[in-house]
Amino acid sequence: MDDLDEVLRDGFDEYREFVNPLVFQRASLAGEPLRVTRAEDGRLVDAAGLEVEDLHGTQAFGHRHPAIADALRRFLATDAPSWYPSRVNPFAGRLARRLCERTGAYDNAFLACTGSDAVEAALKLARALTRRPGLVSLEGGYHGCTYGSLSLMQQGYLRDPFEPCVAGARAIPFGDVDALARALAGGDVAAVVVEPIQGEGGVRALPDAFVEALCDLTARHGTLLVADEVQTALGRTGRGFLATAGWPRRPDAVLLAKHLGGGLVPISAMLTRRDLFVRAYGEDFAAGESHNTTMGFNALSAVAALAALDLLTPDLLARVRDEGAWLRAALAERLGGSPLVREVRGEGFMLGVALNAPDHPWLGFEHFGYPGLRERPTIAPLVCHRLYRRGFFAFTCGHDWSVLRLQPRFDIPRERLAALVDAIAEAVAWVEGLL
Amino acid sequence: MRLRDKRCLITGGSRGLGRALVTTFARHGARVAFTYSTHDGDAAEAARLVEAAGGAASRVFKGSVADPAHVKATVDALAAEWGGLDVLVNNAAVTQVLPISLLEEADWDLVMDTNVKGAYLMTRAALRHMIRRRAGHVLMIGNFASERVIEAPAHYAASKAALRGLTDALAREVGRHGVRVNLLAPGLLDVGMSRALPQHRQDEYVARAPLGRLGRAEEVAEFAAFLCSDESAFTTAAKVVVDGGL
Repeated sequence: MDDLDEVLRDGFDEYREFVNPLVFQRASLAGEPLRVTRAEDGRLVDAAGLEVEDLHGTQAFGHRHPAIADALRRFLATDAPSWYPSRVNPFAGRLARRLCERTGAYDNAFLACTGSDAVEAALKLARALTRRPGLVSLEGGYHGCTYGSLSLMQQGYLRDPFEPCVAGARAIPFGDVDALARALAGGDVAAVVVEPIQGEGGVRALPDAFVEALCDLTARHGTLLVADEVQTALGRTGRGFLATAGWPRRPDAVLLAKHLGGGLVPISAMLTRRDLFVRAYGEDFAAGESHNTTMGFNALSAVAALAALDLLTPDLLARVRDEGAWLRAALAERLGGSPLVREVRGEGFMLGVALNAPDHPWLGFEHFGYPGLRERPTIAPLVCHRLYRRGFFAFTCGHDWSVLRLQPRFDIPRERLAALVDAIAEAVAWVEGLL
Repeated sequence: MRLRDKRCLITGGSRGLGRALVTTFARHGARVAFTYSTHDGDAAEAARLVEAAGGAASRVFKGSVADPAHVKATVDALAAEWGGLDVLVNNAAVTQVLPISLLEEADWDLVMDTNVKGAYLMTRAALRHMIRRRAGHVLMIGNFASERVIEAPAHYAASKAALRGLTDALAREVGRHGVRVNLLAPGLLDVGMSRALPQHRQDEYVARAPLGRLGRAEEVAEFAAFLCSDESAFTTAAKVVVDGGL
């Protein structure tokens, strides 16, 4: 095993050299805290001693939560195998049961490693079940980087280099009931895949009227309704364990990932109903194994997920709801007077600050030396750039660079949230001062 | 062994060009001391490389060159231990790739404090000993950003241009005491701060440079060793650009 101190010293440059120089350069140029060397009380600390609050959302329990780490250590202290050649893994079985019981609406689970894996599982389930070609999604959606998942996304840097995509996939306008009705009218759509709240699309919740139509139309046309809850599930939105629990019809499949592994190991899940699984894959043994993944059912990841489920208590989910409401109100109050701020939106700890593009040529990407990005707004990246210096690692929505994305850890103290509000207000005022 | 037994202090010696300087100087027989500000592991690795290059155990000092107390303690310690100082290389520098619109006063101060004030403090402390001995060499590490028309962070380019003035003025002032002052301005290298530039800027550099590639730190370090050696005894107030012919 390599010396860990040496890795933390040289590994960053090795990443640039052997993995992706552009990611390294982007992080350097943006001023992101890059050389992060340890985690402390859920936060990150970089080599210069800067404490960083990670607002990405993947680390909903904070970095290196001790309960997750302890669960993994306890498992590793046993002599139980992590991978089972028969694929019949008892830890996967227990996790699947716990997930299904927790949702109260599903009784079959497919476990994998990434959110994209879960999307693929849902698309294949839908086609295997319906034998239809169509896959419908919404503009502004983000579903992943595998071929099936990226085929659900609109034109852009995540999709364009990889054309042609999966045949039959198309995106309709966000929240457009008529477009949905037209798309389903032909009876050739296997699945409609949506996010309850689009994350990368700008923290946009599906309108209630669209959700009602979605639940109704998919049922009437025999189309699978798939909720990509990779960002919204497991308490993130304050709506409860799933963001779709209150929909008029529970989706036929929901997809989970992100902090399912407690932030320490990768794991994702597709939850569905047993009758759907059996209809899709129950014909014979070969069909039953026609979609699989080698490491998706490993015990180590399942153990971490079981520990993560223990952390997701009703009290914690209620805290996300209440503190999220406080944060949203505090942001709206502090930022309300700024001409750069359009709206604070979102639910729970999945919030977005929609900003207006600064109207000055020296704040454009062209002036920054990136003429290829000249049509993109700089406003959210600028605010992020300022926030890094204050120890807040905030993000820009991937599809909409005018929206600042905020997804704090669930146990973040109120005083840290107040400090975040101060820092964002200061950052917005700083940009205003540059105009 | 063009630097045999020369007592050399190199600032910012733990990484990038600085690391190449300390190892190259050691390979040429110098007694090497270096400073660094942050990364302990990098400093330890640089010290190991000095020894591996055949040099005596290096003296390593942690601190900011913009901190007068650190500067005084470093130079005083070396003067006491070595009995003097033959070569100072002002290599320590920082940069941030920022457009002027985002360049804040604190950024400006950080770059100027490290790159210019640091060089001034170190040089002044070292000259006290060099002038007394009526021999010595101060080498400023500039940058092609101050020499050629290419887009570079404004504060960084300004700081490196300031070193040109410092070199000119000091060379005239201390030449009468047998002390030489020169400036070596590297182009884009395959290590260090150059790597923080966006890829398209690096590509543009390679496309425009007659030699068609980035420089290697060792190539610059070898030239620095020559400038600091007695072989270049008649060279002072020189500003030498090593940038692949841009």
